[in-house]
Amino acid sequence: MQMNLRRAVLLGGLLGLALAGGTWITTGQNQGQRVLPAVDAKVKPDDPIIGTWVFDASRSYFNRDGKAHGTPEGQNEMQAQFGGRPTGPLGGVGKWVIGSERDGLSFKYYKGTTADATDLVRTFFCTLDGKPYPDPNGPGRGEVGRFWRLHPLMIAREVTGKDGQVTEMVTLALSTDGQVLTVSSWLPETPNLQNMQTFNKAAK
Amino acid sequence: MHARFRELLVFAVALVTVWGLGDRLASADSHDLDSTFPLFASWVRNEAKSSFNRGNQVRQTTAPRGNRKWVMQLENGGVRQRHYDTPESTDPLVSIFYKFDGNEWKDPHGGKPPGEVVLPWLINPHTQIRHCYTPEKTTEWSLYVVSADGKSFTVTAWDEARPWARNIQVFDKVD
Repeated sequence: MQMNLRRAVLLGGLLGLALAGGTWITTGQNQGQRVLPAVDAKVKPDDPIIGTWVFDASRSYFNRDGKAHGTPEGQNEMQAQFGGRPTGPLGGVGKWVIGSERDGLSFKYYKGTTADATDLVRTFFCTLDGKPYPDPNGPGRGEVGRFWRLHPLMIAREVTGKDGQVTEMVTLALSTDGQVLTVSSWLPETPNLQNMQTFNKAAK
Repeated sequence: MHARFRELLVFAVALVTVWGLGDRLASADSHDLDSTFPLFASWVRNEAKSSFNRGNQVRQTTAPRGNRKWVMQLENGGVRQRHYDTPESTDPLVSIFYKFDGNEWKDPHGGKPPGEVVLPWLINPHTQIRHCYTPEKTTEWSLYVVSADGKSFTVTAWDEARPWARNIQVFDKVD
């Protein structure tokens, strides 16, 4: 009888602990909880982002730091509002080759602004399921990047620093016809200021 | 020994089952927001910081534009979003509701176009990406981003055909 009572008390305690624990784990994350689509994050060979992309200065501007990084010469009305027409791509990297690799994407960055540029300056691999990968903006910064596929024409990227705080947000938006890729980025402090890099598809 | 093992096994199974049950019960409401969500405030558009280039049509103008005040409030664990013509207006032009639960929500632009829905995704507490569409086509992509200090709110919207040409509306917090 005493043994049964002890068992009942033990079982009740364990059940209570488990119930409370399960509840706390989820509700404790309400304000920071990501809500992302349950789409297949695996990259398929016909993914519209796969291809060779070349920088288009006429549809781009760099204003993320609030400073002008372009010239009034040849600027359109939109660029006039955001620091002028860029004289070149960011860091001189005007060719991106994006390929499918191990269910994810490989990125290859080339210096130059033509499809035949061969000066490879950086390459990295990521999946689109939110798994962290190191050094999204290059080594030595202690950053971690995460990519999410939201839609066939939309990918989001979040970069966090050493302290886990968000340091950069990026979206990669494809046009309906899959021929234009616009990469916008901003700092968490100033989402009203953005870099808008636009690329045209040069080859599949 | 055998009885003792069976007893432990029963405890372990019960523990796992009820832990999962607790988790399941909680997750029914796990997408609910509370009042600390950074978007919850009254916001008035800062005309000097805003630009209107969506659709590749530059429409920068000094003329007053409507929809200048947006009020975001907690409602039933989700967002009640109301747009007002001016900061002084008291009757909303648009009143919509949505939650971040992975579902579509009707009429993100007040029923125009008919049949439009929005699917809002929460990337982090300061950042949502919104896909608006009808059964026929995408009608809008937009980003809602609250600055890290919580004092500024930026709405960036574009037509899918021209992702480089965007409206960027910047709002200042007024309460």
